[in-house]
Amino acid sequence: MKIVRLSAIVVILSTLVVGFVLDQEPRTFDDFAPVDRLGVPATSTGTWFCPGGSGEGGSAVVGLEIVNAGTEPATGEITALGSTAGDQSTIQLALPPGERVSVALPDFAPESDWVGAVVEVDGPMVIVEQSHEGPTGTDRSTCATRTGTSFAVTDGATRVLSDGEEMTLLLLNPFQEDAVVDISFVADVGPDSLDSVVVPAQRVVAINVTEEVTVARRVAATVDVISGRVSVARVQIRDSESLRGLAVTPVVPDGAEVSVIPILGTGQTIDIITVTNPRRTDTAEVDLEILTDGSVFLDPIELTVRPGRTVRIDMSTEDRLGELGAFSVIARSLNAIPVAVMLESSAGLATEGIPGTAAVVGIDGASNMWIAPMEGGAGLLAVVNPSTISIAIVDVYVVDPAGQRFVLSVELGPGRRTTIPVTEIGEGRPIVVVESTAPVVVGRDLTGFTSRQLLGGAAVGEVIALSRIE
Amino acid sequence: MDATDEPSRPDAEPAPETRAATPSVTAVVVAHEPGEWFEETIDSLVTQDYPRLDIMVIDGAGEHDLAERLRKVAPAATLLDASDTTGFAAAANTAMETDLTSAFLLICHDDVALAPDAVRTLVTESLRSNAGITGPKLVAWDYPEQLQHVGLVADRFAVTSEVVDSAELDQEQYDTVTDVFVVPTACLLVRTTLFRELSGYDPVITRRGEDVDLCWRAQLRGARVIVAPDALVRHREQLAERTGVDDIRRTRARHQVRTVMVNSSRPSLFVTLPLMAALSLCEFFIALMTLNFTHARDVAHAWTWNIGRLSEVRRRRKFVRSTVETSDADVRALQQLGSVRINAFVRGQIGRGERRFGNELVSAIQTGTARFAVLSWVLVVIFVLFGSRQLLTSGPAAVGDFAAFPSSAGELVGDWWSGWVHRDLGSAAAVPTGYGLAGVTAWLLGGSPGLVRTWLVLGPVFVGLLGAWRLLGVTGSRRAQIGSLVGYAALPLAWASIAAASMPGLIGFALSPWLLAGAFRIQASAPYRVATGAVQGIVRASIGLGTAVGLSVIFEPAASIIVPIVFAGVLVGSFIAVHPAGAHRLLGAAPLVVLVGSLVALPHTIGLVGSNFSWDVFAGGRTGSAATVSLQELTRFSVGPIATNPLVWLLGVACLVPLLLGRSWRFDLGVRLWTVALSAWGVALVASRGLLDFGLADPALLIAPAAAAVAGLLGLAVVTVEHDLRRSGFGWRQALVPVALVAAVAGSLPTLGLIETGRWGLARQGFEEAMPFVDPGVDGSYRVVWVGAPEILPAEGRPLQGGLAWVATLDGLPTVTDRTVAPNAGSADLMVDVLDRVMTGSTQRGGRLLGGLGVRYVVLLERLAPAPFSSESQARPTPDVVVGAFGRQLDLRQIVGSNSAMRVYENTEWTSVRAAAVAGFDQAVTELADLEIDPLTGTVGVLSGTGHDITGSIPDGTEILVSQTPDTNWVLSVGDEEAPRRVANGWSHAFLPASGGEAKLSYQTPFSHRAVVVAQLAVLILLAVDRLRRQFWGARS
Repeated sequence: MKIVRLSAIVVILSTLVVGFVLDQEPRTFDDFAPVDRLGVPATSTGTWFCPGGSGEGGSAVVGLEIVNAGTEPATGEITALGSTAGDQSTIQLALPPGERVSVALPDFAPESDWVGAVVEVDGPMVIVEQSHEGPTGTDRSTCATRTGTSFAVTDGATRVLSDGEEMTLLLLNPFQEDAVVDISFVADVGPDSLDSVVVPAQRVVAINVTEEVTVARRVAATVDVISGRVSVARVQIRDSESLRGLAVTPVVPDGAEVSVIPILGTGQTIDIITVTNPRRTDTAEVDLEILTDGSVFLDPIELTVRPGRTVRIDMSTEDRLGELGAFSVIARSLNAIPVAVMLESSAGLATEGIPGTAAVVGIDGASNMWIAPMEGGAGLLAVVNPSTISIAIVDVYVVDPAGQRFVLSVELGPGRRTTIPVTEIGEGRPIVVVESTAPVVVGRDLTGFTSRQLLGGAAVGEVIALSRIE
Repeated sequence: MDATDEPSRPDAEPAPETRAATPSVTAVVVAHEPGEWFEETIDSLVTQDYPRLDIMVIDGAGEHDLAERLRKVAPAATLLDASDTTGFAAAANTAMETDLTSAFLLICHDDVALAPDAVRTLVTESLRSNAGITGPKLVAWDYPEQLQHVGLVADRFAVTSEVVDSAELDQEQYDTVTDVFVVPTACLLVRTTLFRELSGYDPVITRRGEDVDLCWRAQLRGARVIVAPDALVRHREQLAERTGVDDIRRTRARHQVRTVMVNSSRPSLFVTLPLMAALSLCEFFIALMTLNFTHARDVAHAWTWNIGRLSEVRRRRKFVRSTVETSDADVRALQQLGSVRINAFVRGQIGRGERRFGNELVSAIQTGTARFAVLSWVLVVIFVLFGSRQLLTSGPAAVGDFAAFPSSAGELVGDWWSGWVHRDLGSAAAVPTGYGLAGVTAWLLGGSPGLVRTWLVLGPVFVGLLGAWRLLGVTGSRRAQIGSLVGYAALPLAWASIAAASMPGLIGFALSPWLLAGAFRIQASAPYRVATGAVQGIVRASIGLGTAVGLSVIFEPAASIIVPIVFAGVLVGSFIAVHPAGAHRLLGAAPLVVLVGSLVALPHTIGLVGSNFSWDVFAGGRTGSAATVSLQELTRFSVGPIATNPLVWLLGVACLVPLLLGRSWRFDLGVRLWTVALSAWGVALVASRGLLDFGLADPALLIAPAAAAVAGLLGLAVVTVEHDLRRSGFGWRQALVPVALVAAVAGSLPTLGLIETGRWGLARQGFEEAMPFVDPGVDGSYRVVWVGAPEILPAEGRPLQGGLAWVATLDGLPTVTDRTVAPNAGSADLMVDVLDRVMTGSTQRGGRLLGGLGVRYVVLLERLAPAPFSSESQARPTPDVVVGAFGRQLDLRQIVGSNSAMRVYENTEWTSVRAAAVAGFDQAVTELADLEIDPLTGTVGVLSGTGHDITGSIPDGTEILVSQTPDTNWVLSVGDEEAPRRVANGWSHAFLPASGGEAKLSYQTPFSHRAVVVAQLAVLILLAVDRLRRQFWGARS
């Protein structure tokens, strides 16, 4: 009996003790499927947020181009949202396969000086881009697939009298509730801020930075959304005797630990990379890694970006890059502080290349499938393999109303990139589909006869944050 | 020799040589206003056959006629006036102030009558045994054949116990000379020299306890104390009646403490005094708990009285120590081991002879267990009712599982009878029969469901308490039953379940003790033997257990999940105790239990089978994700918004008693109860840590068997003390008893603190006033989707990802018929799909998709009750990613200014659950997802309301969209014409009436459903009749 009693007591008490000890281990709670921050998840439908541009007769008249890169017809619905209360309308679209549908957005919000849009499409291979045209030039950018609560605009200028520089922030609120934002500026002439700016529900609000921060050669802005969510774009106009151009750049929310500028150094341009650290307390240590086709290996450019500050690097002044031709840059935050990165490329009127300005923000995600509608001329398709270990076999297709056809295949080693002239891909304005065995980043240099735009592709496969790619 | 025999008076003087060899004796009779018996007392001394006996009467009261009375009987006797003294001891001591020359003193009360040879026998035995003090056999004055005292035993606490039993007849069974520790003061023979050396009695001890003190000191001096039973003395022993003061307990308690403080050696004092204090503390608390305040006061007085005389005690100790000639250990060897009080309690001796003095707790415990049981029940019921006073007056708030009743009892009965539930997207399923019966009860009570609703909350508590009471009824120990009852009420589970508005917790509380008892009966091991034959008994027990489970399931379908937990715990315990007999019976009976339970809960059973055993019914909206409840909280039964004090763990000390002290079946049963508790806690812990791939029910339900097991262990501890402690000498086992008692009392204190609010911490108000919902009569009926942690949803949810659950209700807050998860989910998967798409960011047009399901509002619930009726600390915040996901929806508008306990979104693209639409309104929609691009437009809400017969007018030339799980038993009639139907939106139905006008949408309950409900009622009636028949038959037999 004694043994039984002792055994029972030992078993019971030890069970309790073991339970208490094991319960000290931290618990793992089920998480939600992450909402990826870039591109469109592989679903049947997508919603695109286009911060838009100016209305008819404005400095950056906005148009939409909806591209169906699939082989099946699709439908879409555009909700045009103006800056004037009640000035909005909805347009239903039929999207034939392999074709582009253009919409003059100001026609659907005629009372507004500024107009944006929400575009909903029901095909996984449909993307939406916005184009802008004004007296100083043209630009093109992919609409965003997400809204956000924190944005960092890395660069801008407001020397309107001396250099014709005007900077505008467009805030699109596509939701049913009003949003409230705080905007702070850090300029070479000093800091400034705008507090509690109301962005009414389903409206576009344009903030004329030129009026808020006057005569600044460099202005960075941080947009913090206090209530609601918005989509943000920067409109930068330059109109001087030496430089004319229009750059409309959707701003990526939140910054990223790793982002890619797919293509730069392609001609007689001045390429300036700006890196902004939106954090209020932490200093970011950032390396700008130079990616080439593999023939040359270069040391990275090391940057220290203080909290709330912006660092500008004029890549044109880096002598060692002079003979490289086109290359890519990976901006990698070494201490995991997210930073915002933008490239502004400009060619003066006196240079040999295509004059004008172009800007692109760093792309922070990679995918196995991209859509890249190209223009004709001397355009380039850039593909970057951000992985340090994986080889990517990249297949390039062209889609037209007749269907999808294979064009070429490229093998990219780890950390390599390549540039494919559009002339090797197809004639006219091919809609390019890039498929890869490993996640890659796709960028475009749409150099035409009179203008030049830099922009990324539109990811339509599963998007993986670059910081998670080894 | 018979004490009533006529004594032979000596006729002649004894021979001189005889006298010289005979030691002289002085009989000292302390008189205090003696009654008519006094002459007989003195006469018994005068007629002694002892030759050298002098008589000295000490008048302790200064009575005037005492001298005359004495002179008539014993003219030679001496009368001493001691009226200036107080008490027997001081009066007796005055004898020493005289010129005593006798060798012995025979100190007597004034109410004894000695047999003629008593003195001779005492002296002879004293000389033969060399005893210092010798006592006679005391018998009752009027019934000399009845023994009164043959000496007394005493323990280290100066507590005495009789050698003889109550009213024991004298059959010469004690007629051998025996060493005892105490001889009563009624009559004793003491050597004069010894008495002088000891300075007589302790004069501070007025009455009761002076004998213990004298005998203790005598033995410290090295003298023997014996009883010579051949010396017979009759004794009236009516001190209380004579003095008119009932101070027995008061004086005895204080003199016991004094005796210990004076006579114990210093090392012994360090052990004895704390133990004595602990015993007193237990006695004090028991007295308080039983409202015997005079008893408690007396216990406290014993210590304050002595502490106030510490200096005098010290002087007395010094004197006593100066007289000591033997070791303390030698004296200790003569004392009773252990605690006489506890042993007497166990043997049932405490309280004997003291009943007539009224509120003696121990007397009640021993001889009036029925009375004590009634008292315990009264206290428990008062505790529950007082703690529920606000629930009784204003009803439970409609939060959590305590959903409101429909507006009328008839509506509730109608919902139950219809076989259709509106929750989620609607489905053909049975509303739990318990609620139907509640509706019938409410109807019988006049149609007001409020009272019934309150008792749906409190009823399970009383059912559980009754189960705890009956759990150990088979042991035959009423005290064990009381222990289980009080223990179950003292555990926080029921009260935490009320605070958390957890119906599963309450039903688990009600079911668990019956479940435990049923499992033990099926196992049929001691003490749950069956007398009716093995098979018949097991069948009977299985039917009983199945009935209990079934009755629980008709209120809470998930309740059956604890059955395997209990069975597993009992089985494991049987093997650990190396007593696996009956394990096969338990396994063999399980199918019968399941069968009976299934029959009792027939509609639910059929629904469960039809749904391929949908696990949602048992999961309560849980996904298997980790929860925050820790094992510490589970073992404290702290599963709701109220945090229970860790003092609750002290109950575990009492629960160890059966393991440490129990023998035979007490030990086996203790082990089985422990393993049941461990099983329940283990399962709840595994679920809480997210180690399962599937969700389990409310932790309050999962740990309910543990609560019942703990209550059982508390009762079993009492049985163990009753049965097993008496065999032990004093040691750690006996010390464990007061420790366990104090621990049990302390462990119950946290629960006592919960009665403060009058509603056990349940919120005072529900969401009725906080919801910004539009009257469905304005735009048509709509659905509300509630998303939140399962434990705070206003009804049991279906699982989502990330530990969240959802439930959809029609036209606002849920009613009680929406509370449980129906086995038939209907089209609920569509809602899950839409919510998943919203939360994973796969759509930003969640409003359109939800609109296709008739959803107008989405409520992200973060608290059980609205502010300010719940605090922020009790919140279960919705994950930011979910809030962000809903915030990103283009067609959901957050309603600003809603209560801080929730976020409410209004769907700007909603369509009424019943809407009139133009023909072909959903042409482009082949599945629900198509609504993202082609939303429903141009619809108008019609036929608003709930219920199963909905009437209203519909416009001409329209189709009537009914956004609910399609079921052909729903029929739309316009006039007498039944409208055809088609599939709409890819999932629901649209009716195509030929024309507009007054229409009626009704659910035609299938005959099969009504047949099943009738069959269920028949089973219930059969079981009730059987139970009553057996009860009646049993009573007659």
